[in-house]
Amino acid sequence: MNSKNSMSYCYHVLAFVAKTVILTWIILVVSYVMYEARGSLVSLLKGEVQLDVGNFIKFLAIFTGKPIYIRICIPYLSYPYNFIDVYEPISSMLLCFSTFWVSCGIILGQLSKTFKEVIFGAVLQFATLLIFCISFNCVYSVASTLIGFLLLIVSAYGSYNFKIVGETA
Amino acid sequence: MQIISELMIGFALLIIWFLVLTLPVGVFIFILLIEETKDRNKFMLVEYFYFSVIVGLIYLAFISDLLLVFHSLNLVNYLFSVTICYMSYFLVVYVTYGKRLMIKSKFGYLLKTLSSSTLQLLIRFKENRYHYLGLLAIIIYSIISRLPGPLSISGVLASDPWTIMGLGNYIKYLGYIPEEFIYNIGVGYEALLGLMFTCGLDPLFITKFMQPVIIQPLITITVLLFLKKLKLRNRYTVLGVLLFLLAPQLKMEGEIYHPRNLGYLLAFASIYIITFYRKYRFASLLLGIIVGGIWLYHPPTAIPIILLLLIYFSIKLGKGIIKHSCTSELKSLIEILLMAFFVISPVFTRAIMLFVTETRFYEVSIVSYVAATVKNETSDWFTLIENTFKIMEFYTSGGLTTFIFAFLALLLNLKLKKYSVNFISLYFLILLFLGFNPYTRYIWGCYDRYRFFVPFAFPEAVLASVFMQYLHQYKIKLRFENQDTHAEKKREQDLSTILRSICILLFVSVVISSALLSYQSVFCREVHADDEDLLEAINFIKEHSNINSKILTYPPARDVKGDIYEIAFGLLSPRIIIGDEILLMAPQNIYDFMKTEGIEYALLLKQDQSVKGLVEAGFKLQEFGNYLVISIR
Repeated sequence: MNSKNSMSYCYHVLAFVAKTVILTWIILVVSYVMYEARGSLVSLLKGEVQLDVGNFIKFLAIFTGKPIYIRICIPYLSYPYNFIDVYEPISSMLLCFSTFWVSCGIILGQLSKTFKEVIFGAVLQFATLLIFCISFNCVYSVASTLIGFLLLIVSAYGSYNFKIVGETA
Repeated sequence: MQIISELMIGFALLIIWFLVLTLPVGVFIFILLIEETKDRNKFMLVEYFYFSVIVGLIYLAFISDLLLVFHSLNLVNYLFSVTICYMSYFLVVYVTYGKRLMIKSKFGYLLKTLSSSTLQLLIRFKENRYHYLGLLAIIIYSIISRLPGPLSISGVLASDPWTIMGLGNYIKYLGYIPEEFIYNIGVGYEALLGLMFTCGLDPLFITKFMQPVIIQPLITITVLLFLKKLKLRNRYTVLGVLLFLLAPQLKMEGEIYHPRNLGYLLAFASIYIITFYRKYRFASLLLGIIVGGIWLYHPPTAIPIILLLLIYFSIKLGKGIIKHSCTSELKSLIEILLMAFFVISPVFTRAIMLFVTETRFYEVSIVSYVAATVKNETSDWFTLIENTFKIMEFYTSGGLTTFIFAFLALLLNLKLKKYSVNFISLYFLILLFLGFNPYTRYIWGCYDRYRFFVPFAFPEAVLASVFMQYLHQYKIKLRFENQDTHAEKKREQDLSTILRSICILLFVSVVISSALLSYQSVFCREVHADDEDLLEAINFIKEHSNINSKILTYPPARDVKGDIYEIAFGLLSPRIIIGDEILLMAPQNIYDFMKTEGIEYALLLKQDQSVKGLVEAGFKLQEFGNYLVISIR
């Protein structure tokens, strides 16, 4: 009986880990494919897209605070204007990096059944990405990595509470 | 230090301008707080705030157009008309609420009522704190997502503000726009900018400020209100807004500081009003004001919406005629049309004046040009197919998932008829039709057919979140039936959970990749040229000439490093900018031309003329990188 209980507990933990961590990585990979395809499946089908491990690592580095150079360019196809590159760490960090961590947090909050799971899942999600980035030496900023973790925890907690409020209402 | 103080003054002036715009709302909210009225639940405070700001913006455009007709647009007249408007507003408020407020005029009682109402509001806020904080986070996010501009001047330089800046300069210095630049459309935004230039504000700063801080939050509120009206669950509302904000189509133009953004805001607002225009007495009048407003700010945006409204009301009228009860629809339609006509009446007056003078009116008429181009396009079928394919790819860039789910929602909605998204579906279809139509530029009323990407993101995001809601509410099952009659084996497999997971996965991936796609050179792969030399050359001319000077340069669309004519027009007007084929002229011809026409300076590329030849012809030269500024000695 006990072994059955411990088995089901193990199964539950494994399922939870799979749900939170693997889902995060699937999201990252699919996002990377969409990014490389410039979001267009048409170019993906035409074979114009090159998926590269090096670029994927750079892609991940953005979520640990890699500074971004932005080209400001008028999008009219007939006459594009080219101007100077602008370095804007604040807005790029807030937009790219918060989009990712907040999305992860929201999903985690929705998947978790208890508050313990929220914390456990957040640490797992964060740790796997951080370990991966450290192993490839692409952690760009400790400060923004920590801000990312904060965003993850806050949005996961918010999403978890939001779910409860919604259900009771 | 000086720049910072100028920025501070600019910010302060713009905040005052915004406060003036929202003053009526403040008064009304104050009344609502002290009055224990039942109307409070009827029309949300957010809605009231939102529509007041929009109507305020339209009023400002209306008054600017009216003053432009009489060549008397200046800050004094402008402020005077705003004062008159506010006085009449306060008079109406006093007549309506005055007596009731007088009864409660004892200060202690007033304070008590106000504090208890505020407390009630705070309690309501506390009860739904996650909801309100979520909304606030989305609005702040929408501002941040459009922020790159305020941090850099290049963002604005890249956003083609030249025409607006040029016309703004005309208004600042001369108080009117010369006939050759007046179309039979409204110039609300240009007038607004022109007046702000008059206050000594930096035009670049204003153009940078308007889009992220004023227009974008209002657009975000429209999407939020619309999704709320459809009674979508909170998580799908959030996802829908995120999809809309990050749609790469939107990002392509979202950072461009252009009146078309105001046009889109008003188009979306009119779609929102359609959801309740029959419930409230004033809603059809409001719809009329907004339709007129679109015309005042950016008419090309108005074309599909007006087309759509006509189709919508025709369908309604048709249904009414069959049921013998079309009076209310007819009444609403007349109210909308009359109000829209009233709002754009200054433009009509100007158009009539132009028609009489027979200047611009015939120049604008492009019938012969259109006919020739249509003939060219139809003769080359391969280009036609290629273009259509290109458009399709643009449609799907970053959002094929969204696009497919929007289409599925459309089909599901036709079948199930659960959500009243008829109008948004119609909008989606009409934009789709306009997009795939190779002659879009003639229907749309402008040359660039790709500009419909921005409005397209709106119905797309709404329908995609509706699809998510459908997945939540309905179970999708796969049923296996054995054909053998003896064996009664039926198996059912529930697909809802897996489909929902896939949907969320794809949507979140779209959101993340879109955020990154908005920064095209994330990996610093692209190399760019800069245009500082041109700006320096123009600045030199500006400092050494007065507003009555004439400047010679290339004709429009000389785009080696941006359209030189456009940039010169934007920064040097109201100096007269003459665009001529100086590339084909010999230095001596240029000299003679400048002398006879009284032109002070000419701006040209170094590569097009030899320096030696220009010196021999008698010009005084000034070099700015690749550019030359020449003047007669």
